[in-house]
Amino acid sequence: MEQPQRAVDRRQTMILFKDVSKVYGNGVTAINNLSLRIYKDEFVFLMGASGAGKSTLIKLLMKEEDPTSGKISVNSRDLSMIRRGAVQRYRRQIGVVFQDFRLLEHKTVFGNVAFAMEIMGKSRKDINEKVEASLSLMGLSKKADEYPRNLSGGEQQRVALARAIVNSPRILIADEPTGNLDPANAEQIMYLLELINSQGTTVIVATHAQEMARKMGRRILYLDHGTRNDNMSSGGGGAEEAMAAGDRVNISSAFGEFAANVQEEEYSGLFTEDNSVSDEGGK
Amino acid sequence: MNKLRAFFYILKLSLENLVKNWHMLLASVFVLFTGMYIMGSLVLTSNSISGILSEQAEHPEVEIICRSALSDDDALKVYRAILSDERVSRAHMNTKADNFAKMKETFKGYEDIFQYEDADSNLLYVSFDITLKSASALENFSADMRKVYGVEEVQDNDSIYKYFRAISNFIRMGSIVALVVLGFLSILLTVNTIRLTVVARKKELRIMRDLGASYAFMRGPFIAEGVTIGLLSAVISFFAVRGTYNYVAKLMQRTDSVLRDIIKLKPFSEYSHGLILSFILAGLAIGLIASMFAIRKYINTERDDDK
Ligand SMILES: Nc1ncnc2c1ncn2[C@@H]1O[C@H](COP(=O)(O)OP(=O)(O)OP(=O)(O)O)[C@@H](O)[C@H]1O
Ligand SMILES: [Mg+2]
Repeated sequence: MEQPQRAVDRRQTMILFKDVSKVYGNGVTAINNLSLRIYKDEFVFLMGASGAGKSTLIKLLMKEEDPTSGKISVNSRDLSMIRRGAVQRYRRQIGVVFQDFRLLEHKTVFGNVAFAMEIMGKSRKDINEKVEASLSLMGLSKKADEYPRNLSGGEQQRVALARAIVNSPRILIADEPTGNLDPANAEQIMYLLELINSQGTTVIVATHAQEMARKMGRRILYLDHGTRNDNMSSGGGGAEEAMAAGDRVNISSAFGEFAANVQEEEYSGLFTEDNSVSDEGGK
Repeated sequence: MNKLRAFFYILKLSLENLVKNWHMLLASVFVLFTGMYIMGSLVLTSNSISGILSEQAEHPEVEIICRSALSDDDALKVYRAILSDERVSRAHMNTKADNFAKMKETFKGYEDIFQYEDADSNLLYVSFDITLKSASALENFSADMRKVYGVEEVQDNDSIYKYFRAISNFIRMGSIVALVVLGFLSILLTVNTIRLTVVARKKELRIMRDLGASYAFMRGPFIAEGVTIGLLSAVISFFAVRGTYNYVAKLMQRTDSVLRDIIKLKPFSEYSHGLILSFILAGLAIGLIASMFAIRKYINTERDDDK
């Protein structure tokens, strides 16, 4: 998809946080004046101590929570502009997996993955095709008729991954995806996440697993009490520096005022096919 | 088509829910049925009584009985007084012989009671069957007639009708109270039934939400569940009320009581359309309201309640 004349620093921004704060009803400040940018082709780790605000950041991304202040843009859309009734459609662009897998016990592996398509009223034929492809990518073709209780933790997480990607999301978010897994299974999940990323999906992984994240050589965003703490990174990744250096981004004019306020923004009129998703346009 | 497929998927889910929670389904259908059955019975009873009352309104009838000692001449004077009254529409005179014959007819098989010596028509009385032009004149006419020389008794059945009118009013009041109480109970129990399946599917709902299922799709199965409970109750109630009505009608025909002459029940078919329609509408309304209440807390929220 990348056009040849587009340089690395013209990469598309997928996620943009601008001075975002989230204060919960009980007065806890979970996110504190956070700004960050994640590119479309990126695989990013989100790290920080327990309570640092990782899960909150994910909830903000899924529009399960709204920021108390600041702006969030995902795929060139201002999240605050998404109507309540359109939130569910927005979520279809995001696949998500959790530490506890969240599979349905009474459905088979196939049924669990198919469920993500059934609830959107997809046709049987379409479902069979996509589910099989998704399971095969996750190495689960042989387990299609098993029930979750008969699977290992690693296999269950792979089912969750297969379900998260079956509708071809733009972003895959994983909140502690390896929290319940042994190192071997964790590594396998990481490998599969990279595979998903290599096929064009932005991947964000919240984790405590420092060692593993370092080993992956991907950008790591450190959160500390709800804000960026780049000092925690030892040396930092290349992309991290690019971010600070005023990277460019293409953003649709629909994003309007917010975009104009991002000073390093360059309006080069670079609209790509990915920026055309409107409020009504489902997938 | 996506919509149609989603519809059947939702229907399938709701039926699964109902089968899984069959005991609660039974409980709420039972309560809804009881409510509809009682309401239906009250309305039909009230309607039948209204029928009797309007029958009276259309044909206000009075029977005048003369003293048995009254001479034929005086009886004729009474007859003339009746005929000349403007309020009278029709009048028929029963002679002593007529009434004796009627009495014999009434006591058929017990003729021995007429076996004493001077048992003849002279023991009886002259009477008049009168139909008035309007029911409103009934009370005054009866009072006037009681003053006429030779009149022993005026029977206008007004007291019976007053009694029916009282029952009718009572039932009407009762129906309103029953409607409120039973409606409330029905909704309450149906809410609980549906909420049970909502809670049982809480995890599934959360997964659906994370996967981006539309709110309509998430609510669908529960609304379908409520509607199914409502419709099922409506159909059962209809047949129960019909059975009861026909049974009572048959009983009435068999008895030799006065009721048989006064109460003429309409055939059930005159009520059936209105009744099934009302039941279905009530069932739909209760099902919809109940399911809305049941899911409000669980699906209408953006927040994660578990945290
Ligand atoms: N729904 C909520 N209501 C109130 N406070 C909350 C809520 N969710 C999270 N918090 C608070 O916000 C802060 C950040 O929580 P969050 O779950 O985002 O942390 P985290 O980085 O995901 O932690 P962990 O690594 O333990 O998962 C914590 O202090 C937490 O107690
Ligand atoms: Mg967390």
